[in-house]
Amino acid sequence: MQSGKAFKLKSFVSYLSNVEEFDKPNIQLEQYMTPPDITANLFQILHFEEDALENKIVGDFCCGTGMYSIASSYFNTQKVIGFDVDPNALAICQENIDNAELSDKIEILNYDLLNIQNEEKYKDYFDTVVMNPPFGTKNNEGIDMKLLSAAIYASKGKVFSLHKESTSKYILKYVKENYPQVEVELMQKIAFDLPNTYKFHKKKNAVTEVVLVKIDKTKL
Amino acid sequence: MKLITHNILMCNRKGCNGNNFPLKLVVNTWKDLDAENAQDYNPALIQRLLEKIEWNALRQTVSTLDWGMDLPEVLTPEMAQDDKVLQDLHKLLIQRQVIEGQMQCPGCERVYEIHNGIPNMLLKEDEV
Repeated sequence: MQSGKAFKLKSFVSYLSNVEEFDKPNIQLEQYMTPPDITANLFQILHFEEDALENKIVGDFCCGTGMYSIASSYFNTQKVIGFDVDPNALAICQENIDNAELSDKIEILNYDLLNIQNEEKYKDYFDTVVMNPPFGTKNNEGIDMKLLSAAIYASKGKVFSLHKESTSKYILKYVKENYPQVEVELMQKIAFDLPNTYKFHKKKNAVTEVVLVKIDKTKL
Repeated sequence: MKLITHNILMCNRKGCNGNNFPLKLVVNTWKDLDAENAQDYNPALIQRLLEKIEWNALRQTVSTLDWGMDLPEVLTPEMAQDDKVLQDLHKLLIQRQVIEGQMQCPGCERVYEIHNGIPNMLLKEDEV
């Protein structure tokens, strides 16, 4: 966002519409990109209501092709590090970063976040972690919770993570049991028009209800 | 990859947990973002980033690179206010990018490749 200019949601959406998608989505990783309009809606909340981006050091977990990294940087983050296990997604991500002229602010790592809790350097490193993890369906059961734990480990402030609405009760229980001192809250509920990326989605465009989970460690 | 990110990377291979930081950096190619593509010099930002930096690891890494930069042994609070020092750090931490290279664990000698600016920190199945 250029300083001095008023924020316009429409310009933000159009800015994000330049972010390229996965070219060959990996079924194991449940890859899909959050559409520009939904991303723009979420990130304006993160900026204006949560103060989670400006001058912050942000981790983008499961960054894929970089949608959340680029959306974060729009609001004058100090630095963003994106993490993903898939080198093909990261190659597109790097192109997206270069096209948006954000390589001074965003760096990406080919990294398996399931190992991050062995590394003390990452503990409480980020001010904010944003994340669009695999939903943990199909052969990935439980991966969404493991990644949420990884995010809580690496953030000293807030975590914002997108999950399937049907898992929201379980998430609340999981966080309260494992992290009794952090605050957890369900924010926005969104109807997600998942594109027919994978063959096992029988309906042409399956609508999935997702929810933005917010975890706040700042009141510890 | 920039040096500020190198400053948090450690070897996470199974069984390697002693001498695993900082990874020994070998740079094959690097480039500086020009002034147009890099954010403006901002002393407050550099000072903020310095809070995240393990100075010894950064200094040690820079001393092995032929970049003609020498960092002082200790970063005193006075230096962290000094414009000249902060401008050098702006160049080192914000503008300079490693494009191709390797990082080697000082303990177990595992090598991590950097390709197209992206470090590959993935472990093989038998390394986890």
